[in-house]
Amino acid sequence: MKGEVTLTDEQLNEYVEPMPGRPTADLDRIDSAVKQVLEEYPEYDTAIDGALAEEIHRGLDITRRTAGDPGLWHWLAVVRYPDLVRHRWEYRSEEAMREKFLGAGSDLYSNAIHRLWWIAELTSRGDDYSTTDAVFANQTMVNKVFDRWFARYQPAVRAMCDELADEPSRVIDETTRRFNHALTNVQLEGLSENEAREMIRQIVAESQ
Amino acid sequence: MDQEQIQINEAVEWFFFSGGPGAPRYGDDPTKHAVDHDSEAFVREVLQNANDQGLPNGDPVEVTFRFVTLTGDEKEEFLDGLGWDDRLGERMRAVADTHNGHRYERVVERVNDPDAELRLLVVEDRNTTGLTGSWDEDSNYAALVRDELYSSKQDDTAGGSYGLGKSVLWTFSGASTVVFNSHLTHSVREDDSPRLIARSKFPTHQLPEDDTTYQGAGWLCQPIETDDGPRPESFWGEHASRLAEQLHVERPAVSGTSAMVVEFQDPTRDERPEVEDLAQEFVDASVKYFWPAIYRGDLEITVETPDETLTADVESVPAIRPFVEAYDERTTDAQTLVDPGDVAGLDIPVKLPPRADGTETPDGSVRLSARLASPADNDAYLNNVALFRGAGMVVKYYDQSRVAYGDRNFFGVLAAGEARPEGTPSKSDREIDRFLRFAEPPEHDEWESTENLREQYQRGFRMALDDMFGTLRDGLRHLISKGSNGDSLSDNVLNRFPIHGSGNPRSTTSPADPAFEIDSSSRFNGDAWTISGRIKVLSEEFDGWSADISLTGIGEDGSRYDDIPIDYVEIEQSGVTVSYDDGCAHLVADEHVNEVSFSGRSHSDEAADLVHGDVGATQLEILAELQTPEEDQA
Repeated sequence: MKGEVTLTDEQLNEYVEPMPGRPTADLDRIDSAVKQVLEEYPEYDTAIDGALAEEIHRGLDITRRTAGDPGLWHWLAVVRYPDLVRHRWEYRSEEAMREKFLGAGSDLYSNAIHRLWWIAELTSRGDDYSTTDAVFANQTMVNKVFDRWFARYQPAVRAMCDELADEPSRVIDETTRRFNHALTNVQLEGLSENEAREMIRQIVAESQ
Repeated sequence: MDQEQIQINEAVEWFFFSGGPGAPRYGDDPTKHAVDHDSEAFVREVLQNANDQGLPNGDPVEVTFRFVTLTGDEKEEFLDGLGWDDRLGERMRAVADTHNGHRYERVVERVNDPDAELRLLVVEDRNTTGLTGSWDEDSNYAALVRDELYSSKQDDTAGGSYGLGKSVLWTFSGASTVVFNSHLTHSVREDDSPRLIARSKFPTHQLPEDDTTYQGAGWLCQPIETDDGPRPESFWGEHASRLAEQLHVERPAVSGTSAMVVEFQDPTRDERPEVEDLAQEFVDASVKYFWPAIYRGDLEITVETPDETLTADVESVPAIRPFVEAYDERTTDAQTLVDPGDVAGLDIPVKLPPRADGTETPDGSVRLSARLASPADNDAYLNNVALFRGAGMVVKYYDQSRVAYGDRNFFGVLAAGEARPEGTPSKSDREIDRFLRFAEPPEHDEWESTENLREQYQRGFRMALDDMFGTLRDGLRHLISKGSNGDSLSDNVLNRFPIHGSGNPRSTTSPADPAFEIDSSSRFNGDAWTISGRIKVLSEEFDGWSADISLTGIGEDGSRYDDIPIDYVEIEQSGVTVSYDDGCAHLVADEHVNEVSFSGRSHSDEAADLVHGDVGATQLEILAELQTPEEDQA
């Protein structure tokens, strides 16, 4: 986990199996983006996320169902880009690092690469990644929005990201907290993007 | 009342006692304020009264609620029979002028408006005792027609023991007037039936051009002179029959009573519901509270409107069916619930204290059964336990949702006293029935410590109740739990789906013996949380204890937020101090206190809005700590 051991293909092969559904990916594109990031960004720089998210999202031609398979993310993090994971995340504990390599599945915030793809997936609109960039430019937003359950519901995420884009951390913190509390009364999946937006606007207004 | 000052007004056949100068005045009928008065309470009280008066012949008590609406000539004829123009109307106008009389004004308007309908409700019961006895003796008749808050019910299994239930008849009469027509049984005057009399309960009032002060109660009757002064006397036989017909309160010549509520209205509502809607509410309320009696064939209820006749059977209210099944199969040997629809049951032991006169009471048990809920069930009373005894009326639906977990939802039944066995009740069943009857407050909606219990039993009645409910909760947990087969497939499968919380598999080991038994509830009432609870020390020996009470907001994903500050916590017991720190309440109890009940409230948040995150899921947390003698020495 600390990068002190290098695993060989032989050691890994017995754990690797083909993905169902035969997803395809432009790994060359991701390789070069990762290479560039490793050269240009200092270690543990949070800006790495923003620099990579769009490329990873575009490079992996997969459905959300495929993205729900933890094996894909384990392979990307452990086999294909372990250097990237270690470059981005400082080793603080076995448990934390294990999550960056071996998280995924229902927890979209954990695996280092999984989270980049998912956040891009939930915030992009077609070829427009401007919201994705805005979100990664503000780590408070990444933490407060995407580490919550409602982050799995795209209309709410889009509305939340738009409305909070220019707000200070304190407001982001308070708004996401109150929205999460309000969702104990309101069925999240019953909200349209506009309804979610209206709720969030009112909460932002009260949180300022 | 001073007999010399009694006046009779024979001419109008409405008889009112006169209090004379200096007599106490009555602003209103005090019993009106004694119980909740929605139509559910009306149905409950009325049915309970009829149910209690059943004849011991094995036949069911039959009750018909009949709505009659009158307009035009029919209305005129009815008012004529009621003596409206023979000064009843004048009297009601006078009452309307008293400061408590606003409701009467509306009735007077309705009577005088040729387009407005009058609404009558006749409650007709059959195979019941009927209004036997005379004015001057302790009788059915006197209890209903003469007395206030006086019950003549002597039978140990009767539902009521306060005489309060009958007051709902007047409470639901816009004119505070009820007409009784009764066919008697086992009475010297059985052949003179029917027997008819009407009674009104007005505030104390005066008539124009008459400086007499009349007491509120009045009777449409034949006043007679007795040695003790004048008395209202009911109409009998042919005269009663004719008047009954005119007043739409005629009945078949079978034993029982018809009570007619003049201008029926629900005092808790400002609008006048359609008769059809009221009829459905009556059916629902009848089944909700009397399904055990209906199911056992002791009670038959119908509701009639001008257009239709509805029958209150246990099949007609889907929310009740699961309870009926739980009761039907209560004697099952099963003690575990596996599939939805399964019923399992347990005996809950009950130990009663001796009666007040020293008579020992036999130990017995009540029967708890529970049915595992299925998604197909109507869940209006999900995770409730229906409590009832021999009278066959559900005293309350006891919310035990805290016992349920995961998909283990249930419907429970506690069949107590004479409702427990399928055959003849044992001596202990009868004693438990009697005990629980005295444990019911006037509203009959609880089993708790009452003045009546204190009078009827020696010390220990309170503990007997607490123990029964404590064992009930434990028994329910036992029935609902999955049993000892922790390695079952479903458990393993479930643990793979960490849908809620942190995803830790459920612990299959049993926790250490608890030191406290804690009950609590919290409810948001519009601008603040009201909280209440009970903390009981289970340990025998302790030097004192403390508890922290806090309220915490919870997010959709279970994340915890800041505490919601508690404004105050009230405790009635002595020996407990309460302090507040940062919105939490801190209780310190000394070694003499082994149980504390509290109630309290959070600071109010008037801006509270459901969609702004001001108010949402909230957890009431009680952390209690026991100080034991060993710890002191250490």
